[in-house]
Amino acid sequence: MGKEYIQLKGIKKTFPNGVCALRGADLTVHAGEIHALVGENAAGKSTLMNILYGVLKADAGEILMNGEPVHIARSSDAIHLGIGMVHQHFMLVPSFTVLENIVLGSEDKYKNKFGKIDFETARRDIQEIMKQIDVDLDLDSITGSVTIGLQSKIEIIKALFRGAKLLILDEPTTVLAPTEVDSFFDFLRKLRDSGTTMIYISHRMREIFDLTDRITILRKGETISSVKTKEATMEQISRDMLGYEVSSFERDRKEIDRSEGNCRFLVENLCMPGRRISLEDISFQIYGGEVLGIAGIEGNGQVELADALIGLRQIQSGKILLDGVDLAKEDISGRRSKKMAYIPEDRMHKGLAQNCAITDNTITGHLKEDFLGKKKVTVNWPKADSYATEIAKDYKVEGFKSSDQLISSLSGGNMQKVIIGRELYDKPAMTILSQPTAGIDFNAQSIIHGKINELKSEGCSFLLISEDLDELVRMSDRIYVLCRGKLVKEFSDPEEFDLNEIGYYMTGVKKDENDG
Amino acid sequence: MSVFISLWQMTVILSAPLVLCALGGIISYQAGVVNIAMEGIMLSSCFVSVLVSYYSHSALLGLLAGMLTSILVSLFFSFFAVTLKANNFVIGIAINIFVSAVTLFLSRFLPVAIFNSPDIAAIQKLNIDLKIEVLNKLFSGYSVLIYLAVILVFVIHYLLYKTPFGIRLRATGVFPGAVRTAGKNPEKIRYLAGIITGVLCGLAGTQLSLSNVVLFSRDMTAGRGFIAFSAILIAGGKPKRVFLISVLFGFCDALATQLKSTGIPTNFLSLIPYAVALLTLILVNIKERKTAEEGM
Repeated sequence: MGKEYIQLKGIKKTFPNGVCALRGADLTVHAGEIHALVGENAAGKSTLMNILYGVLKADAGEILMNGEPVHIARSSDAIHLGIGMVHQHFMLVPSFTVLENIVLGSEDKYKNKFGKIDFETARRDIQEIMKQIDVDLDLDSITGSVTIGLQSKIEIIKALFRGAKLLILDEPTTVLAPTEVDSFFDFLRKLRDSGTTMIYISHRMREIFDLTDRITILRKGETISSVKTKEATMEQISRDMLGYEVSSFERDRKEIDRSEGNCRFLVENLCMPGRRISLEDISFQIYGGEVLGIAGIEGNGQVELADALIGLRQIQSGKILLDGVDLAKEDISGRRSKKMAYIPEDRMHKGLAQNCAITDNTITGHLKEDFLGKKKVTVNWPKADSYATEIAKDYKVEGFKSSDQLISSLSGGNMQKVIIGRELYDKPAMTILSQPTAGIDFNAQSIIHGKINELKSEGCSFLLISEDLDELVRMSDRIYVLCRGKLVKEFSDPEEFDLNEIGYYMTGVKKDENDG
Repeated sequence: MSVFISLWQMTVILSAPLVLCALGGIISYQAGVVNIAMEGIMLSSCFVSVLVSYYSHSALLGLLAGMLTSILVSLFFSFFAVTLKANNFVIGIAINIFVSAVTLFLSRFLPVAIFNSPDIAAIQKLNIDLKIEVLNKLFSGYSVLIYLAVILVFVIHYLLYKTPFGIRLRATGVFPGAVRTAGKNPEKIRYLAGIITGVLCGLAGTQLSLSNVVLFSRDMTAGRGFIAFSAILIAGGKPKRVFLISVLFGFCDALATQLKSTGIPTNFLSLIPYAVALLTLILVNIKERKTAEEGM
């Protein structure tokens, strides 16, 4: 392990809206290591990294590079110092060629005397870098048309091309398929061996232990500990992250009654043509007290499936039966009144009205009889407020002060708790969960999962659409893989869920036997 | 033959302001700014060019003053659109109405004689002797700005697709985040785009009021800013295509003018360019949708 390369000391940051994101965070990264920066969602990881990359300005604290204090006021300063950042959402122009995207930001260095960019020299330099790290890319393809896995490599090559010696990787694997993750990690290891230092932000334990050399844990804006990965245990890391012990629950291994009489939700030959992707001949059934998982890479029809089932989009043909009643012709409110519920994937826009109070968000669409005044015209606000407060208490919503505060004052995970609390309040017979815990910290995730399991034991059924395979495997009783709008494979034994096998079907490497 | 030649000449003259204005608009379009203030920006230049040309007896000074005014109006637009992040359409329309009103007010306030005075110096015409009379008639004797417009098509193409500024500008239009993380400032790039749009719309305005006609009249741009804007949309912001579409609109305008002698009602004829603009937009849109669906 090399000597201390980057040191952040006593970094403090309070945002103009009064949120204190960092209360004196420290981070020491040694040259040539992959350094994990872990913490719950509002722990301050991104804020700290944005300060290092010059996007945000720290209120106090200093940054040392090789022991010398450095001043980073804007991103261009960070780039000059050899710091590169790969954002969670790629900063690539989809309509540009790969070459143009990599050159963007370094274009002035390649200007010839006619003021023209010398793309040929740039191309040679990029190929030189690619040779060093053993990557082969077609620089002339359109960026938007290459796979997400390749795009993540393009981002990294772009940073290296700008001269980065230190790479900040912000949850780079959230968008990757499991099969892509392995090759991506090999790539990162190769990069480390060629001398690049990396800071790796993640809260996926498996990845951290698999890849990194050292772990620094942030909690509520402070550095809790920094340990060598080899000497750390998962229990210790999660305890430091959360500040208390979590009892990781085991899946309810109770046998599901799969007799015909217990079949609650039945979808038959559902077809829905679409501009982006078409659903073709989807059939499945869900039994009482069962969680059916849908695995798939983003954009393979998950959103379309959820929309079709709850009635946001019109299906072309097929049946949707809940307890024997066909819902295909019903609209959303019709389906909801038959005790269906829906947790949309886009909580910010589909799930909540950002500029409204918590109460408004909990009663909208869920206005119960007893929330109304005597004449059934006006809302009985005290009752509605107490209902919102009840949900907030039940789900341990953090940051909840009163039910009339704006929903947008809560963090993402706590907003999601409000949505789920609202949707599951009446114990719906059938709930569609679309990415219910995407981007949510461990703590909120376990509360939500606990609730799902609780309702499950009372006989409620769930369809869980998720890109997080760990979540699917832990929560589901059966898993279907959705690939290009078709259900291509069923995994029916929880004991034999195999991440790699599921991944092969997700990426289309394997197709179902019957499919030829 | 003479009908063809005069139709050709008319097309060249009437296309010129459209081409110049549209080329300027491309820069804003590619930077991700919806600049529908081009109408007003151009009109401000028409007005100031005439005024300065009248008092100074110099077309060059008129041109420079017109351009400077356009740049200022364009920066005014940029300030609202970029810094204050106002709705581009609202602020664009506001500026168009504002310039229209201010120029009208000032032209009533100042002696009327100024605005169609013979003392207004027109833009120099360039006579190139091509030895053959027909070629001379087709290609010689136009205002300097018209030749400049043709050159500018290639200059703008070079600027957009070959230079560092161009790549930053195009990236700003599609995905400002990529530019920001590259350590560059997308707002600054959009302001620069605003200046270039101002320069070219300024040229367009001067061509209109110091060459096509040598006078200023109320709202003399007559929707050309919008026609240029639709040319940009139809051509997807690509300079050479924008040039061709602008010339098509110029041709329709010329055709309408030529047909006046045939006895077809004038009001109906002056509809042609706008109808063609509308029709092209619809056709292009239908075609794009088809290719998009086939691509799925």
